[in-house]
Amino acid sequence: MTDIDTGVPTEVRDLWVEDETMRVNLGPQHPSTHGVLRLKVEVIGEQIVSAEPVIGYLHTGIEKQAESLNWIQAVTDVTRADYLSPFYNELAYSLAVEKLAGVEVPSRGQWIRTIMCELNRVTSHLVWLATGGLELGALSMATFAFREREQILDLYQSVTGLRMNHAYIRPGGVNMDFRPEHPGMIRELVVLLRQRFDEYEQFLTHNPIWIGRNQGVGILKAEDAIALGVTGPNLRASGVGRDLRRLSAYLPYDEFDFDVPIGQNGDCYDRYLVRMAEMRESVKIVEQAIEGLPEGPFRAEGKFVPPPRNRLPVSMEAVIHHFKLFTEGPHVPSGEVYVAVESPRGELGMFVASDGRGRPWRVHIRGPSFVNLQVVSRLAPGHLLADLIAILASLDPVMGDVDR
Amino acid sequence: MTTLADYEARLRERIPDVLLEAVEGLDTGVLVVRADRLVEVMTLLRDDFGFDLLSDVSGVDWLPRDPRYDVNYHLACADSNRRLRVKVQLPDVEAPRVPSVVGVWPTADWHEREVYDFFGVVFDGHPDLKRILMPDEWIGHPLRKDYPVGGVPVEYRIEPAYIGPNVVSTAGRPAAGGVPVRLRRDRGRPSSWTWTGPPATGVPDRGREEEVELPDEDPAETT
Amino acid sequence: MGLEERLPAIVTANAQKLVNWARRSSVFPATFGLACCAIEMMQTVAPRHDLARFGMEVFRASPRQADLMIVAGRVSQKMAPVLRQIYDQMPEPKWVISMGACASCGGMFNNYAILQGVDQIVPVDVYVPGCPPTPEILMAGILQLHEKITNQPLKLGRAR
Repeated sequence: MTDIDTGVPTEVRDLWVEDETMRVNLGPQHPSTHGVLRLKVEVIGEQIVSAEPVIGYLHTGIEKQAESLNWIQAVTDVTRADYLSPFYNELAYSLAVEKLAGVEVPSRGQWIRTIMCELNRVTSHLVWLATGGLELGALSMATFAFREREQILDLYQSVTGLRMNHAYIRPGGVNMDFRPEHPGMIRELVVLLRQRFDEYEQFLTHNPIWIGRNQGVGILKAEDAIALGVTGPNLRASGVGRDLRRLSAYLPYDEFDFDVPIGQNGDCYDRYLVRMAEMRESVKIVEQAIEGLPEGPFRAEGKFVPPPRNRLPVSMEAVIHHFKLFTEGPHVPSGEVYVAVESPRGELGMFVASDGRGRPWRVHIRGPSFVNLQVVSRLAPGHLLADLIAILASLDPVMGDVDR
Repeated sequence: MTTLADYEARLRERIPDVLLEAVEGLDTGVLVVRADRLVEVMTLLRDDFGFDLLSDVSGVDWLPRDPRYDVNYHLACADSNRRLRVKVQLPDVEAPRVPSVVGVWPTADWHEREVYDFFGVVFDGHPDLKRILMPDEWIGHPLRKDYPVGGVPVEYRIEPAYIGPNVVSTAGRPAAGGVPVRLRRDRGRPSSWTWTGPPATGVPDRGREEEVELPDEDPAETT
Repeated sequence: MGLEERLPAIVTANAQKLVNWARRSSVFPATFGLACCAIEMMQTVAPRHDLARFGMEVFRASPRQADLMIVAGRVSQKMAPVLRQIYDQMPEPKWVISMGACASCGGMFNNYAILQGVDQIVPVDVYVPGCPPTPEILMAGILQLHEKITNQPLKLGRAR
């Protein structure tokens, strides 16, 4: 039977002697801590007695800064929170502002958002795969995954203008439409990615070293996961089929045919399998979306969204509209809204409160990694120090999300 | 039982005198409850109403308004789409107090520490209420409306800020340092990295005498 | 076949050139990726913009074995003393590249939480602009640094 507080088998815990622990600091600068995370670990030999994460080394004041920027400028601020999935930060923020302002995004805008977001899920999981492999010793994995990511970043640069932190998904729609060459680029990308995913599976999935380091390590039970607020692939690997793409219709996911992979044991290996399967499902969604992309406007009409640039030389109303929008900012009616999307890490929520002016009153980001990281202090005790690295890698925290 | 009216009726029936207001928000229903009986209400919501997932705890400072602070608890149900927001309103005192719900949902641990760090709201019963994102010795609660955004004033300069023995003049090879010309690898020739045009002073060049040629036809007339 | 025929048996070189050539050809960066710029730094080591061409793909985890600290990302108030401690642990000669807008001047985050430029606590050799800088820009900055190292006079205890 296990100790409820630390999850360690009692016969192991009875062997520990209180004054034999050694405090090891996995400091904020460390190759395996996924950014600037500090872990205060107490060990007896190699066995961990307790592991307490200390965060805040990347605190940027994003939420406070958003209160001094106007509603459109705040997209550039909020997008740098979870920097590995910037489209999701922008999406959650834009959905919240659109709900407050009563703006409806046209269909083409929504489908373009879906394509970019699902590709972002793939790039985020590729970075998880690369860094996870790097930390557990599969060094070539980093080379392969970053090579594929480079192809997708090329597409991002072509569509949005930037490789990261795009500020592309804005309240009202997206910033620019797809140009004629983009659907072809995306189709080629889909073919390439499918092939490469097969290679990754060949490389890692049945590799005895990978299995040995990940299977049975960091088992998170379903009811503990829910009580601790864990969401995303971590929760799904523990057997709970909660995916916000199915539960709430924030993007047209019900038009696509895709599966939500669910694990059984909740150990690191299951989290790995769930993410690998999710990458394939995302590529499936992108393929269907690019085939069925509807025509039409890519952003909403009306006072909330800037007019298209080609109308400015010919229409005085467009110039006035543009001027007022970029000097004062759009006015959003007062109210508060919480919108959650399914980011690669879990439930990314944005709580936006407006007081009716041109600037947000409060923007709060519910970072999935912030909540997922609390689990480390429950999962680590009883494991060896090397397993702690495996646990951390499999939880996929991004410190920008944790510290904001 | 999924509408706000259902929740309101059920809560009033089970725990009377605790619900102050029930509002239908744009995204979900909002129940405003009294702060002192919060743990009782939350336990009921978790066990009876089925909200087993606490998504988020967010604080808001509505400074000119009284009560000043709002603490919002965003509740969700793990296997369905039901959501609910429970709100507690706190007065403008130096350390407003609210009971902690860590016993109901362990995930509230870090969320409550964050609200304490940024707003100064004290959660009674929290096992380890200390700062989480700011440095431990920081003074002040940054997300309060009377705390300034901070930062430095931005200045635009024309001349370099510091001239001294360790600063190479920007007119020459910036990367060269104080090395004699014959020992430099490039022998003093400008490299392709160096800007050899007019100095980038940030002041428009007013010294030009020649006329700027205007095009023959006005482009706006042809559209 | 060709090299042995062309090289004389004894080669003379200027000591400064030799030392600077060795120093610039195998600069070992310390892992100091903080935020988004760290991901672009990782992309610089990735196969397309291969940093290994310059002998720099070995990112040393311990600052005591590193020459170069690429401060990639925004430096928060809590992280600043840690950064200074890592810088102090690096042995001479050492260089600092401030990568990105946040490390160079605080970037878009001109607020209470972010250090307005890492040059407030460590001396910086090359500033690389961008948010985040693409790998090409970072490599241009690294090549600037290589030039700076090449032209560095060889004396004990460089004046800063």
